[in-house]
Amino acid sequence: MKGMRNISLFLLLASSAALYSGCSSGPSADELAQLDQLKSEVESLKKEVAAKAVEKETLEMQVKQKRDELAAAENNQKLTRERLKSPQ
Amino acid sequence: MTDPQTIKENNMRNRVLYLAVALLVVATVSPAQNKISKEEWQKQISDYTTQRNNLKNQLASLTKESDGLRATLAALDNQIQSTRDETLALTGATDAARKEFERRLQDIESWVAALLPLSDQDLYVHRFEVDSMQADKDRLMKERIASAERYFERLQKIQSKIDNLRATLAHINSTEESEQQYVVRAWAKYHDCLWNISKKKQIYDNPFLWPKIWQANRNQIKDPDIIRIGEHLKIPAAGGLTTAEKNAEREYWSKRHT
Repeated sequence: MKGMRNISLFLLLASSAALYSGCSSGPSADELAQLDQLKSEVESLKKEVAAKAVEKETLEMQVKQKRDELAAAENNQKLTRERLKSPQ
Repeated sequence: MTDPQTIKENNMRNRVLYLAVALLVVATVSPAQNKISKEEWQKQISDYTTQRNNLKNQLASLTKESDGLRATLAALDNQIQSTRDETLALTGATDAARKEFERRLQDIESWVAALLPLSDQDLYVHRFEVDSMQADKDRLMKERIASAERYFERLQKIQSKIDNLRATLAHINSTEESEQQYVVRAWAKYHDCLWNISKKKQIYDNPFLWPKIWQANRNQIKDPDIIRIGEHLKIPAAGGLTTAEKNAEREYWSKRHT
């Protein structure tokens, strides 16, 4: 009885040790490092894309303002021409 | 029969053995949970690579768009500047003429800005300056360069401020014209005399200004000690006694003492 129990315990220990030492079919340490590097590259790209999107939005706003400014300058020119034709 | 000492030793050994097994199982299971299978790794590599490529494309496209917008901005700046230059050229003014016009315009702007915060009384003192200012502004307006919108708008603003100053002066004049009146009441009941009327809060709140009322009503008040019930007295605007009022007061006191 006692012998049976000792054999079972030995088998349990041996199988656990085998599992621990990496008998399962997982990726190697290098492969895991490659995945981590890829993840951090994606995170960094996400940040860059977000910053670029903000920059583009700001530029679009500036372009809109400049277009308004140009329209005002053109209108001023038109008014000046009219005023010069019929001075006050 | 086993002796009690042997049973105790067996029990102790069993407990130690169970504890060792439990520790080993925990140590084995914990790192195994952090590991992923080869298939899962492959899938993640594939997903992240796709994401990375998409993000790179997105970044390239955004960079291109931003560069395009920067070029548009520069082109618009040039267009605005050339339109403004053309507008000024229409007036035929030289650089020197523009500078001189600008200087004169600034002079009037500063002049108006100095008069605007003045109190009514101080503005009244400077009332003739408003006319000079208007004349200067009209002279600028007649020049060809004034047609340029950038100057025209400023001249219009100046005109609007001069109009405000004129409105304030008109208000001061109308207030002076419609000066306050006071109807004299019985001495027995109201103790109305020039001193007491001047002392009233709604009049001057200062009895020593009574000569103002006397001088403003000199045609009907010969003797400031005698005013009649029902008389309508003009009450001039508050302020210090004028020289004429001071002289009249001095004359009054000297007559009383002789």
